[in-house]
Amino acid sequence: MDIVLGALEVMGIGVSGVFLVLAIFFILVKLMIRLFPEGRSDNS
Amino acid sequence: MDKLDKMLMGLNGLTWQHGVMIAIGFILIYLAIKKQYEPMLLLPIGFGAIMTNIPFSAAIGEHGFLTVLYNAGIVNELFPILIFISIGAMIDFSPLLKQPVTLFFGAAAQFGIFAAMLMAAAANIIWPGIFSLHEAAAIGIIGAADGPTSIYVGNLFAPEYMGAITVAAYSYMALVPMIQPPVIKALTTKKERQIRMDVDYGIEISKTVKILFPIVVTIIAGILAPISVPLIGSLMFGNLIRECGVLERLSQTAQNELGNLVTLLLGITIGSTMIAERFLTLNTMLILGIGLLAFVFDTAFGVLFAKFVNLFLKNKVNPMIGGCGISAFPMSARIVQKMAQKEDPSNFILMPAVGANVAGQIGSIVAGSIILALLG
Repeated sequence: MDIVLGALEVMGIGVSGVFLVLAIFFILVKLMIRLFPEGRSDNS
Repeated sequence: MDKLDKMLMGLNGLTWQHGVMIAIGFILIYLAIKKQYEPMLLLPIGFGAIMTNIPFSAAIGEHGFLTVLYNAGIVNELFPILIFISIGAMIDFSPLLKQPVTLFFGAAAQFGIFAAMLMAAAANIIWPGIFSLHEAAAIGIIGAADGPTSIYVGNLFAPEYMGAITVAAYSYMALVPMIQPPVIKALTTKKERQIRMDVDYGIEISKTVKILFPIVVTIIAGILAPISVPLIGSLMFGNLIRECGVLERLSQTAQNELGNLVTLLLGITIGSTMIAERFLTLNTMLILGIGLLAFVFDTAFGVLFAKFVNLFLKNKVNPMIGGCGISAFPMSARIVQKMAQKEDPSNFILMPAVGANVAGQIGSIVAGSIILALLG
């Protein structure tokens, strides 16, 4: 039972952790695109 | 008589377990050649399994070349890291950078990893002591749908199950066209599958952003989880070589020669871990079963997450792209695009699907790194 509880703990932290890290990447990408814009291509 | 015995040593040593493993090797080779399921991996794995399970095979053992390769490239994690450099050089992150929101689909579809880990841990309720928490985590990582990450984590947490974990990971990646569509169909309506996505394809990503992205991601991921540096760092190093624009030759070498050579050695070496006594067990059957469920959970949670996100969006996303958040790149994106066009031939969602798919590549490495950080 300890293993199951341990797995649940890792699951809780893990799922939240993945979302948190990728949310940070999301903010960084948005920031980088704003700081270093390229403009638009002709087919837009 | 003694000499005759020596000559017939292999024949005398043959057991039914060896026979079954050689048959499994044949099946993998058949799937690779006839069905073209991940042939670059399954063929070497199958042949490695055959060589390993010939009684008294000199390919394994202290001086066997497969053992030498195993020690040189798997024990020290070198092969998966080199593969990541190659994969990084192959990936174009532009679809993700054009639609950064797809990162969240890459996060959601990692749920299968943790669900599978929980299932492997829960197996202890029925078969006490069958898997430790570390082994359960290594089994869960099959759900990363990412071979090198599975090998990396598997080798650290469950080296005795490496063969089963790797075969499951690569086999199910090859079977994504069969695993994902029924799950996606079961969780979406026809109307949802017909949703068109208002993607602004006109946005161009500057070279500066493309160059900064791999560097920034490595630094941030490394600071948050230092144990992730080899995994994410090698992937992003490969990508930096691709995007910098001044290392075309190195980029081509990483994408082709390096990737091909390491894949060749990786496959045959993994095959050498499929030793009959270790492979033909209840544990292996459970690993294969749980691995399949991991892919199902990845897809299901990705789709459900996209449907959840739609509750708050004015411009709805096609929930099928949630299923692309698994790391099986680019197969998953292609499947979803095909499914979308089946419902509406003029619907084109490949771009966001590829974005979610490459986000899944990052998400799977992040998930693997978090597991390593928590249990390492």
